[in-house]
Amino acid sequence: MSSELEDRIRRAMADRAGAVTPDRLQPAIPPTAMGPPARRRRMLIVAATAGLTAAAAILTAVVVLHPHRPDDVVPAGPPPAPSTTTPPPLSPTATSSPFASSTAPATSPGR
Amino acid sequence: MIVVLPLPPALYRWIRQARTGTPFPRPDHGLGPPINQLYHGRRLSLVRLAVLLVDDLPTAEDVVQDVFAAMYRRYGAGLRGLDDPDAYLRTGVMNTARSVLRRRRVARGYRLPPAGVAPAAEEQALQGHGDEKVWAAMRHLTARQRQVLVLRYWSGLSEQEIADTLQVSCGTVKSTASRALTILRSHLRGRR
Repeated sequence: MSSELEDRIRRAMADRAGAVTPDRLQPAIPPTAMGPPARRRRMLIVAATAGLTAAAAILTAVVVLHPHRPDDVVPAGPPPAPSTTTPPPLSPTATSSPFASSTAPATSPGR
Repeated sequence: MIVVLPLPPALYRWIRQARTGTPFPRPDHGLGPPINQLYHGRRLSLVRLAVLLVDDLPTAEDVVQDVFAAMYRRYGAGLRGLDDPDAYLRTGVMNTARSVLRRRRVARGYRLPPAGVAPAAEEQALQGHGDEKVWAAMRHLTARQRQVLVLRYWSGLSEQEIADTLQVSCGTVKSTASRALTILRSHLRGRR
Protein backbone atom coordinates (compact mmCIF):
# COMPACT_ATOMS: atom_id res chain seq x y z
CA MET A 1 0.00 0.00 0.00
CA SER A 2 1.47 3.31 -0.98
CA SER A 3 0.26 6.60 0.40
CA GLU A 4 0.35 9.93 -1.35
CA LEU A 5 3.23 11.00 0.87
CA GLU A 6 5.28 7.94 -0.03
CA ASP A 7 4.74 8.57 -3.74
CA ARG A 8 5.80 12.11 -3.25
CA ILE A 9 8.99 11.03 -1.47
CA ARG A 10 9.78 8.57 -4.26
CA ARG A 11 9.37 11.21 -6.93
CA ALA A 12 11.48 13.72 -5.03
CA MET A 13 14.29 11.21 -4.59
CA ALA A 14 14.14 10.03 -8.19
CA ASP A 15 14.31 13.62 -9.46
CA ARG A 16 17.23 14.53 -7.23
CA ALA A 17 19.15 11.35 -8.05
CA GLY A 18 18.42 11.78 -11.73
CA ALA A 19 20.11 15.18 -11.63
CA VAL A 20 23.41 13.38 -11.04
CA THR A 21 24.55 12.49 -14.52
CA PRO A 22 27.88 10.97 -15.63
CA ASP A 23 29.08 14.25 -17.14
CA ARG A 24 28.73 15.99 -13.77
CA LEU A 25 31.02 13.56 -11.98
CA GLN A 26 34.70 14.12 -11.42
CA PRO A 27 37.04 12.07 -13.63
CA ALA A 28 37.00 8.49 -12.52
CA ILE A 29 39.94 7.28 -10.44
CA PRO A 30 39.72 3.49 -10.21
CA PRO A 31 40.67 1.99 -6.86
CA THR A 32 43.86 0.40 -8.18
CA ALA A 33 45.10 3.84 -9.22
CA MET A 34 44.78 5.13 -5.65
CA GLY A 35 47.98 3.32 -4.54
CA PRO A 36 48.86 -0.12 -3.29
CA PRO A 37 46.59 -1.66 -0.69
CA ALA A 38 47.62 -1.06 2.87
CA ARG A 39 47.85 -4.79 3.41
CA ARG A 40 50.57 -5.03 0.79
CA ARG A 41 52.35 -2.01 2.25
CA ARG A 42 52.18 -3.63 5.65
CA MET A 43 53.64 -6.81 4.20
CA LEU A 44 56.53 -4.86 2.71
CA ILE A 45 57.20 -3.12 6.00
CA VAL A 46 57.06 -6.40 7.91
CA ALA A 47 59.38 -8.08 5.39
CA ALA A 48 61.88 -5.23 5.57
CA THR A 49 61.79 -5.21 9.36
CA ALA A 50 62.25 -8.97 9.50
CA GLY A 51 65.19 -8.75 7.12
CA LEU A 52 66.91 -6.07 9.13
CA THR A 53 66.30 -7.96 12.37
CA ALA A 54 67.73 -11.15 10.90
CA ALA A 55 70.80 -9.30 9.64
CA ALA A 56 71.34 -7.72 13.06
CA ALA A 57 70.95 -11.11 14.76
CA ILE A 58 73.46 -12.74 12.44
CA LEU A 59 75.93 -9.93 12.97
CA THR A 60 75.52 -10.16 16.74
CA ALA A 61 75.99 -13.94 16.66
CA VAL A 62 79.15 -13.63 14.63
CA VAL A 63 80.58 -11.09 17.02
CA VAL A 64 79.62 -13.08 20.13
CA LEU A 65 80.73 -16.52 18.93
CA HIS A 66 83.97 -15.38 17.39
CA PRO A 67 85.28 -12.69 19.67
CA HIS A 68 88.40 -10.82 18.75
CA ARG A 69 90.99 -12.70 20.91
CA PRO A 70 94.39 -11.22 21.64
CA ASP A 71 96.20 -14.45 20.68
CA ASP A 72 94.80 -14.06 17.21
CA VAL A 73 97.08 -11.13 16.83
CA VAL A 74 100.20 -11.82 14.94
CA PRO A 75 103.12 -10.62 17.08
CA ALA A 76 105.00 -7.86 15.62
CA GLY A 77 108.57 -8.57 14.49
CA PRO A 78 111.63 -7.35 16.47
CA PRO A 79 112.31 -3.74 16.23
CA PRO A 80 114.92 -2.83 13.71
CA ALA A 81 118.45 -2.76 15.03
CA PRO A 82 119.85 0.63 15.71
CA SER A 83 121.91 1.95 12.88
CA THR A 84 125.67 1.58 13.27
CA THR A 85 126.64 3.75 10.50
CA THR A 86 128.73 6.64 11.45
CA PRO A 87 128.52 9.88 9.80
CA PRO A 88 131.18 10.42 7.23
CA PRO A 89 134.13 12.45 8.42
CA LEU A 90 133.93 16.04 7.69
CA SER A 91 137.63 16.42 6.85
CA PRO A 92 139.80 14.05 4.97
CA THR A 93 142.05 11.93 7.19
CA ALA A 94 145.38 10.57 6.38
CA THR A 95 145.13 7.12 5.23
CA SER A 96 147.73 4.70 6.28
CA SER A 97 150.11 3.57 3.72
CA PRO A 98 149.14 0.43 2.09
CA PHE A 99 152.63 -0.70 2.80
CA ALA A 100 152.51 0.03 6.45
CA SER A 101 152.79 -2.87 8.76
CA SER A 102 151.76 -3.34 12.27
CA THR A 103 154.97 -5.03 13.07
CA ALA A 104 157.85 -3.15 14.51
CA PRO A 105 160.33 -1.75 12.16
CA ALA A 106 163.02 -4.12 11.23
CA THR A 107 165.79 -1.83 12.15
CA SER A 108 165.67 -0.51 15.56
CA PRO A 109 168.08 2.23 16.56
CA GLY A 110 170.24 1.26 19.36
CA ARG A 111 169.97 -2.39 18.87
CA MET B 1 80.76 -7.91 -15.46
CA ILE B 2 76.99 -7.65 -15.33
CA VAL B 3 74.93 -10.73 -14.72
CA VAL B 4 71.31 -10.60 -15.82
CA LEU B 5 68.96 -13.05 -14.16
CA PRO B 6 65.57 -13.74 -15.69
CA LEU B 7 62.82 -13.00 -13.14
CA PRO B 8 59.42 -14.64 -13.08
CA PRO B 9 56.75 -12.14 -14.17
CA ALA B 10 55.01 -12.16 -10.78
CA LEU B 11 58.25 -11.39 -8.96
CA TYR B 12 59.13 -8.66 -11.44
CA ARG B 13 55.69 -7.13 -10.99
CA TRP B 14 56.03 -7.26 -7.20
CA ILE B 15 59.47 -5.65 -7.21
CA ARG B 16 58.39 -2.91 -9.56
CA GLN B 17 55.29 -2.22 -7.52
CA ALA B 18 57.30 -2.10 -4.30
CA ARG B 19 59.78 0.35 -5.84
CA THR B 20 57.38 2.71 -7.54
CA GLY B 21 54.40 2.43 -5.21
CA THR B 22 52.06 2.19 -8.18
CA PRO B 23 50.45 -1.01 -9.27
CA PHE B 24 51.87 -2.66 -12.33
CA PRO B 25 49.17 -3.25 -14.92
CA ARG B 26 48.32 -6.89 -15.24
CA PRO B 27 47.40 -8.44 -18.50
CA ASP B 28 43.66 -8.21 -18.19
CA HIS B 29 42.51 -8.40 -21.77
CA GLY B 30 40.86 -4.98 -21.52
CA LEU B 31 38.52 -5.77 -18.64
CA GLY B 32 40.63 -4.58 -15.71
CA PRO B 33 40.73 -6.15 -12.27
CA PRO B 34 37.35 -6.99 -10.73
CA ILE B 35 37.34 -4.02 -8.39
CA ASN B 36 37.82 -1.58 -11.28
CA GLN B 37 35.04 -3.22 -13.23
CA LEU B 38 32.81 -2.89 -10.21
CA TYR B 39 33.86 0.74 -9.79
CA HIS B 40 33.01 1.69 -13.35
CA GLY B 41 29.75 -0.20 -13.23
CA ARG B 42 28.44 0.96 -9.86
CA ARG B 43 29.95 4.37 -9.27
CA LEU B 44 27.14 6.47 -10.70
CA SER B 45 24.35 4.69 -8.85
CA LEU B 46 26.30 4.84 -5.60
CA VAL B 47 26.94 8.56 -5.99
CA ARG B 48 23.22 9.03 -6.56
CA LEU B 49 22.52 7.05 -3.41
CA ALA B 50 25.06 9.11 -1.45
CA VAL B 51 23.82 12.44 -2.73
CA LEU B 52 20.39 11.69 -1.29
CA LEU B 53 22.05 11.30 2.09
CA VAL B 54 24.61 14.11 2.19
CA ASP B 55 22.91 16.65 -0.12
CA ASP B 56 25.93 17.79 -2.10
CA LEU B 57 27.64 16.17 -5.03
CA PRO B 58 31.35 16.62 -4.15
CA THR B 59 30.82 15.05 -0.73
CA ALA B 60 28.80 12.24 -2.26
CA GLU B 61 31.63 11.50 -4.69
CA ASP B 62 34.14 11.52 -1.83
CA VAL B 63 31.98 9.09 0.10
CA VAL B 64 31.89 6.64 -2.78
CA GLN B 65 35.60 7.01 -3.45
CA ASP B 66 36.37 6.32 0.21
CA VAL B 67 34.24 3.20 0.17
CA PHE B 68 36.01 1.81 -2.88
CA ALA B 69 39.40 2.66 -1.37
CA ALA B 70 38.47 0.81 1.81
CA MET B 71 37.26 -2.14 -0.24
CA TYR B 72 40.56 -2.24 -2.15
CA ARG B 73 42.57 -2.07 1.05
CA ARG B 74 40.62 -4.88 2.58
CA TYR B 75 40.03 -7.26 -0.31
CA GLY B 76 42.59 -6.25 -2.94
CA ALA B 77 41.97 -5.84 -6.65
CA GLY B 78 40.62 -9.36 -7.04
CA LEU B 79 38.00 -8.98 -4.29
CA ARG B 80 38.95 -12.38 -2.96
CA GLY B 81 36.82 -13.44 -0.02
CA LEU B 82 34.06 -10.92 -0.67
CA ASP B 83 30.76 -12.71 -1.16
CA ASP B 84 28.41 -9.84 -1.94
CA PRO B 85 30.20 -6.74 -3.25
CA ASP B 86 26.96 -4.82 -3.80
CA ALA B 87 25.88 -5.27 -0.19
CA TYR B 88 29.34 -4.29 0.99
CA LEU B 89 29.26 -1.11 -1.09
CA ARG B 90 25.75 -0.18 -0.01
CA THR B 91 26.59 -0.63 3.65
CA GLY B 92 29.84 1.24 3.16
CA VAL B 93 28.09 4.21 1.58
CA MET B 94 25.54 4.27 4.38
CA ASN B 95 28.15 4.18 7.13
CA THR B 96 30.46 6.70 5.49
CA ALA B 97 27.63 9.12 4.72
CA ARG B 98 26.42 8.84 8.28
CA SER B 99 29.92 9.59 9.54
CA VAL B 100 30.05 12.64 7.29
CA LEU B 101 26.79 13.94 8.70
CA ARG B 102 27.96 13.29 12.24
CA ARG B 103 31.24 15.08 11.65
CA ARG B 104 29.43 18.05 10.18
CA ARG B 105 27.19 18.34 13.18
CA VAL B 106 29.90 17.78 15.74
CA ALA B 107 32.54 19.95 14.11
CA ARG B 108 30.50 23.05 13.56
CA GLY B 109 27.11 22.41 15.04
CA TYR B 110 25.96 21.75 11.52
CA ARG B 111 22.33 21.37 10.71
CA LEU B 112 21.37 21.12 7.12
CA PRO B 113 20.45 24.69 6.22
CA PRO B 114 16.77 25.46 6.45
CA ALA B 115 14.79 26.43 3.42
CA GLY B 116 15.40 30.01 2.41
CA VAL B 117 19.10 29.96 3.21
CA ALA B 118 21.27 30.32 0.11
CA PRO B 119 22.71 26.88 -0.66
CA ALA B 120 26.12 26.05 -2.11
CA ALA B 121 26.45 26.12 -5.88
CA GLU B 122 26.45 22.34 -6.26
CA GLU B 123 23.54 21.94 -3.95
CA GLN B 124 21.72 24.71 -5.74
CA ALA B 125 22.18 22.84 -8.98
CA LEU B 126 20.70 19.74 -7.37
CA GLN B 127 17.85 21.69 -5.88
CA GLY B 128 16.53 22.42 -9.31
CA HIS B 129 15.46 18.81 -9.32
CA GLY B 130 12.93 17.32 -6.97
CA ASP B 131 10.20 18.47 -4.68
CA GLU B 132 11.72 21.30 -2.67
CA LYS B 133 9.14 21.04 0.08
CA VAL B 134 9.93 17.40 0.57
CA TRP B 135 13.67 18.10 0.74
CA ALA B 136 13.15 20.93 3.15
CA ALA B 137 11.17 18.56 5.37
CA MET B 138 13.84 15.86 5.01
CA ARG B 139 16.31 18.16 6.71
CA HIS B 140 14.43 17.70 9.95
CA LEU B 141 15.17 13.97 10.00
CA THR B 142 18.06 12.32 11.77
CA ALA B 143 20.72 10.61 9.69
CA ARG B 144 19.30 7.19 10.54
CA GLN B 145 15.73 8.19 9.62
CA ARG B 146 16.92 9.56 6.33
CA GLN B 147 18.89 6.40 5.59
CA VAL B 148 15.85 4.25 6.15
CA LEU B 149 13.72 6.37 3.83
CA VAL B 150 16.35 6.49 1.11
CA LEU B 151 16.86 2.73 1.19
CA ARG B 152 13.13 2.17 1.20
CA TYR B 153 11.96 4.65 -1.42
CA TRP B 154 15.03 5.07 -3.63
CA SER B 155 16.79 1.72 -3.41
CA GLY B 156 13.50 -0.17 -3.04
CA LEU B 157 14.84 -2.52 -0.37
CA SER B 158 12.63 -4.60 1.87
CA GLU B 159 12.60 -4.02 5.60
CA GLN B 160 14.80 -7.06 6.12
CA GLU B 161 17.32 -5.85 3.54
CA ILE B 162 17.37 -2.41 5.13
CA ALA B 163 17.93 -4.03 8.51
CA ASP B 164 20.83 -6.04 7.11
CA THR B 165 22.36 -3.00 5.43
CA LEU B 166 22.15 -0.81 8.49
CA GLN B 167 22.88 -3.70 10.85
CA VAL B 168 19.85 -3.05 13.00
CA SER B 169 16.78 -5.10 13.76
CA CYS B 170 13.74 -5.25 11.54
CA GLY B 171 11.68 -3.68 14.30
CA THR B 172 14.04 -0.73 14.43
CA VAL B 173 13.60 -0.22 10.70
CA LYS B 174 9.82 -0.23 11.03
CA SER B 175 9.73 2.18 13.92
CA THR B 176 12.34 4.47 12.38
CA ALA B 177 10.44 4.64 9.08
CA SER B 178 7.16 5.30 10.83
CA ARG B 179 8.65 8.08 12.91
CA ALA B 180 10.32 9.61 9.84
CA LEU B 181 7.08 9.65 7.88
CA THR B 182 5.28 11.27 10.80
CA ILE B 183 7.89 14.04 10.93
CA LEU B 184 7.73 14.60 7.18
CA ARG B 185 3.95 14.67 7.22
CA SER B 186 3.83 17.21 9.99
CA HIS B 187 6.33 19.51 8.28
CA LEU B 188 4.64 19.25 4.92
CA ARG B 189 1.27 20.05 6.52
CA GLY B 190 2.75 23.02 8.29
CA ARG B 191 4.09 24.39 5.03
CA ARG B 192 0.84 24.31 3.16
